[in-house]
Amino acid sequence: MKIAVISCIHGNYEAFDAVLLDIDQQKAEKIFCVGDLVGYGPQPNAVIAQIRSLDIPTCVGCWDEDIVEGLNACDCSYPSLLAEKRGIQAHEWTNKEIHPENREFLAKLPYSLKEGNLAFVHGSPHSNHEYLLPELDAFVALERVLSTESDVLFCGHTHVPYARTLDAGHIQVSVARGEKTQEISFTSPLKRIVNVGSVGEPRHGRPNATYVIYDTDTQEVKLREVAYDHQKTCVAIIEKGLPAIFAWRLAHGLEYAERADDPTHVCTR
Amino acid sequence: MSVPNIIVVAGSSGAGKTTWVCQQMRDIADVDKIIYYSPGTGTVPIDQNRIATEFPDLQVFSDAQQVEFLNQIPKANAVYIEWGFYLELGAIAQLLENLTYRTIAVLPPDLKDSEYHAWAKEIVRGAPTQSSTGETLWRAASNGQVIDENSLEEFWYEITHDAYGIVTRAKGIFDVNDGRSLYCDFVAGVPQTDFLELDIPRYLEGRPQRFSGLEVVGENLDKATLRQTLSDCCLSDAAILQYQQQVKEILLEGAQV
Repeated sequence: MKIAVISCIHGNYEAFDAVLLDIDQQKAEKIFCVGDLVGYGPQPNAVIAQIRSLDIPTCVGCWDEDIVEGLNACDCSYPSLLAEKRGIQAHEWTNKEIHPENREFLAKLPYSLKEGNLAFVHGSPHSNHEYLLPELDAFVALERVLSTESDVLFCGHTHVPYARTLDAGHIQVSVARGEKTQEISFTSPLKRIVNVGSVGEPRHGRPNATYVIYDTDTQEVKLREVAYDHQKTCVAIIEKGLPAIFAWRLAHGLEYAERADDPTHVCTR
Repeated sequence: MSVPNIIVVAGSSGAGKTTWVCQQMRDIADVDKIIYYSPGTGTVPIDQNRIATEFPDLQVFSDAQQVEFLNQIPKANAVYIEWGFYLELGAIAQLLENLTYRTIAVLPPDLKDSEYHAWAKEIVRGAPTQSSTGETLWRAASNGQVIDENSLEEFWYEITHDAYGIVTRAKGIFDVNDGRSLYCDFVAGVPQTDFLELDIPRYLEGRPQRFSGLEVVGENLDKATLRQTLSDCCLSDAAILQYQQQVKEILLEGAQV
C-alpha cells in the first residue's frame, strides 16, 4: 500500500492543494500529516478545514501547540532575535485569525500516531521542538526510533526532507550494581527515519512543496517535490498584512521557522 | 612650507575608492602626516571609521570638520579626498579653490566614456560593479545600539539578496553581542567576503559610545522596512548587560589560565 506523509503546511493552502493533487496522481491510499498546519502562512483556517474534510490523521506540530497553549518555546528555539520577533508576529497574526472551531480541532490533535510498524511525530518522540537532522548522532537517532517501538519514524519540523537508514547496530550497556557489573547487550534491527520536508514553507532553496510517498510493501521512500503557484501565496501574505519578508523567503525556499543553534536542544518550558 | 600632494579619488559606487586609498596608505611610512577627508557622508561616516581603525595615526576629517580640514592642508605631506558617487564632480574645484590636485577615478573595467573619464587624470581599474541610473542611497546611524550577530547575518543575507530592493552596494559597521565591532561590505557582482572584525577594543560597558551605521545603494529600496528590520536586530539594555557580563567572565577566566 502506498501512503503519503505530509508536514509543515503552515497556512499555505495553494501548496497544500497542489500536493493533494500530486498525492492523488501517485495513487496513495492514505495520507498522514505530522503537524504545523498553521503559522507564517495566510490561510490557516482553509488548511485546517481541508484536513478536517478529508479526515487526514494528523499529529500536533509546535506551531499548532502554540496556538492552543500560547507561545511556550524557550527563546533558545530561535536562531536569532530577528527570527524570534518575526515568529512572534506570525503567532500573533495566526492567533487572531484562527476560528474557534479550528483552535478546538488543534487542541485535540494527538502528540504522535502509530500505524503498524510506522510511527509519526512532528519534531521527535521527545519534543515537538527537537530537530531530527540528517547528521544527528546515529546512537541518538536510533534511540529516537526505538522509543516509538516502530521500524520507521516519520517526522517533519526541519522543512528539509531526507530518508535515513540506521543499519543494524549492536548496543552494549554495562550496569554497575554494588560490586557486580551486569552486561546488557542487544542487536537492533534495521530502522529508518524519514523526514517528509514541508508542504507550505520549504527550506531546500526552491519554492516547491515537498512531501513523501512510502510503499509499505516495498519500503520504498519517494521524496516528492511539487511546483505550485507560490506567487499566489506571496500575494496573499502581503494582502493579509503579514510581513512582506515572509513572502520573499517563501519565494526563495527559505523558511524562517525557529531553528536552534544546537539542534539537540530540547525546549523544556 | 612645502605644497602637499593632494589626491582626489572619485568613481562609481563600490568600485573600490576606499580600498585604493588604503592601499596607498600601506605604502606610506608616516601616515601621521597624511590627512583624509570624505565629504557628504553626514552622520554615517563608514569609510572614515574603517580607515581610522586601520590607520590610527592618520588624521581623518568628517563633514562637520571641513573648515579644520582646509586649515590642516598646508601642514600635511599628503591629502587624500574621497569623493562619493553621490557628489557633483564640479564641486571639487569649489572646495579646493586655487589648490593644485591630482584626479584619480576608480572605475569598473567595462565602464566607458563616463563623466569620470573626462574628469580624471588617471583611471584605476576597479571592481566590476553593476550600478544603474535609478539608484538611491539610504543610510542609518545606529550609534549606541548593539546588534544581535545572528540577526545581523540574516539581515545582511536579505539585504544582499534583494529582499528590500535591488541592492548594488551595502556597507556597515556594527557593534555586536560580544563587544566587537564588525565591518560588513557588499558589492553586487563581486564575491562576498566575511564580516571583518575591526581592530578596536571590545565595548563591554553598556551602550557603545562610538559610531555604527549602515549604508545601502540600490533601486526601489524599501527604506521603511530596512529601518524597521535594523531596529528589530537591536538588543535591549538587559540583553546587552547580560552578554557583556558573560564576555567579561570568559575573558577573566582566560586571563587567569
